[in-house]
Amino acid sequence: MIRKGIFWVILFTAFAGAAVVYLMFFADDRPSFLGLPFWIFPFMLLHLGFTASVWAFTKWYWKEEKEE
Amino acid sequence: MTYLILLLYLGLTFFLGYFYTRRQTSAESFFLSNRNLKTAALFFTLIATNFSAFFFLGFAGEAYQLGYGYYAMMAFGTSFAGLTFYVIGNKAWHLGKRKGYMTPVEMVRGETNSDLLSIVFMLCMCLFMIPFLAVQAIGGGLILETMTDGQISYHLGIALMTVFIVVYVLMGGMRGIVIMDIKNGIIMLSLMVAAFVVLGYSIGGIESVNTLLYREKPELFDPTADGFYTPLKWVSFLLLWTTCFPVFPQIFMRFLMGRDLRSFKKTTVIYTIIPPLLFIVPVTIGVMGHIDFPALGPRESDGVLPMLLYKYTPGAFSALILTGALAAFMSTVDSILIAISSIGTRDVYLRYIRPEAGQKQQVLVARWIVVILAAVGLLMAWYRPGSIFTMVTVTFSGSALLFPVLVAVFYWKKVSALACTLALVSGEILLFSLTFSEEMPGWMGSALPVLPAFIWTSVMIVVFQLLLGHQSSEASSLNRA
Repeated sequence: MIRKGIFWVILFTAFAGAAVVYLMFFADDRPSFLGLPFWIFPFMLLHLGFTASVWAFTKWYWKEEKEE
Repeated sequence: MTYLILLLYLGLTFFLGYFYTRRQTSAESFFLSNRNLKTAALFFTLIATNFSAFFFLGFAGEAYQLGYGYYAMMAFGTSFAGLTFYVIGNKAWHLGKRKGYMTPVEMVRGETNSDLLSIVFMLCMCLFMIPFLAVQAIGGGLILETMTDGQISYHLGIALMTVFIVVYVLMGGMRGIVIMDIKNGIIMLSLMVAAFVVLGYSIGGIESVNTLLYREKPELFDPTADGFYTPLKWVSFLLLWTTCFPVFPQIFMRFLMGRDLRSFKKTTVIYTIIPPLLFIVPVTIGVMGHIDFPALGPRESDGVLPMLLYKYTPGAFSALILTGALAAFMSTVDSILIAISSIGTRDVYLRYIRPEAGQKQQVLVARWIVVILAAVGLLMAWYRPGSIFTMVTVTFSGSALLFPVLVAVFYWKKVSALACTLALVSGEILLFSLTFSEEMPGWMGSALPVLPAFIWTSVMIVVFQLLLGHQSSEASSLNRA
């Protein structure tokens, strides 16, 4: 339980932190594909990374629960 | 043509409600659709319930004011909720399956043996939903008024929509609502994408519009929304969206409806992908509104999507898209009604008034509660108190404070119900006093009141637990052994 909790907090902090730092300090506003600001695309990639992490989290969580 | 589209949509909804009337055999069927939903049904019902009329009209309006920065905050916050759905939903599903719980309040009481905590929890969970219900009705009335060009007035619109929703909820129960959610989810998502493509083309191309806007109003492209989103405010919103959604009764009930855990797991993973892909659509439409309507105020900008539709597309197409907004509104309202009515029936009527009530009696009481709730929502929407939007912000924040309590109840075997109750009540008091204080204390910086209140509630659960010792936790841990 504690391991799961720590993992959850790390996941939340890592992605939220990465998003805030990128958007506040490194984002490029200039229009790119479809005229949308460029920062949207790295931001979407960050989302995909988040989805992959959630998938890994649920897989691990589920496995642990089955073993318990 | 508008009326024909409207009638076709409402006719289909009514038919589905009627079709599922015959299938209501038990309370579990009426409240939880027999706990047998697979991934696709679970996903659509979750999306349709969570994405309200605000997704259709409000997103474009807010994006008009704040630019693309609004996308960043909303997409990330909503997507993050997938993770909390899993943390809360996984445990809730297990407990529901094993012990037969049908409502979140029943679960809290069952796991802690505390009437006090379950009553406080229930009051926070349900009372905070009523202003949200009223806002949905307001949205529905405005959509109808816009669609019919004022022929159906706002007041007639909210009354008609409320009566219609009540009738099909009474007939179909949760099984009917799930089918409606699948239908509404598909209609809502596909029509939003259709609006994006057609409007983009009619306006002269999304790329050229954006390039022009970047030259004239570059602040719309700034992810901080021209300094509006400071890091503290960003984190506050992220925390708010992530923690309030899973404790909404209508969302929580979905956690109990999966056939197996595999379906639920897949649903949460798919859910995290949808917001970043989909939210760009209403946000771009809202930003594009600056081309034709350069100086709309905050209230006017909520209508930027219909304004663009009626300016650039044929009336029938506009009516079709607004039917999607109506679908989004209806799928949220019906779920709130049935969720709160199930809590009222199981956790008030069955627990304190008539414990021996049979299945049929429970369904009957639930139906009455639906009618009463809908009437309260209608009444609030009718008079539209000026502070209702502030109330919704507060109620979302108030709901978010239930999250640490639920995590403690689910995952901390020794936690006492009294510690949770005191932490929750003190957290809500702090939240309300911060929200309604004339001037925010300097130590808060640009944070929303929910941030300190959430941290306070979480910390106070631990502090009260340490202060009160484990005496009071013995009874509750017995039940969770």
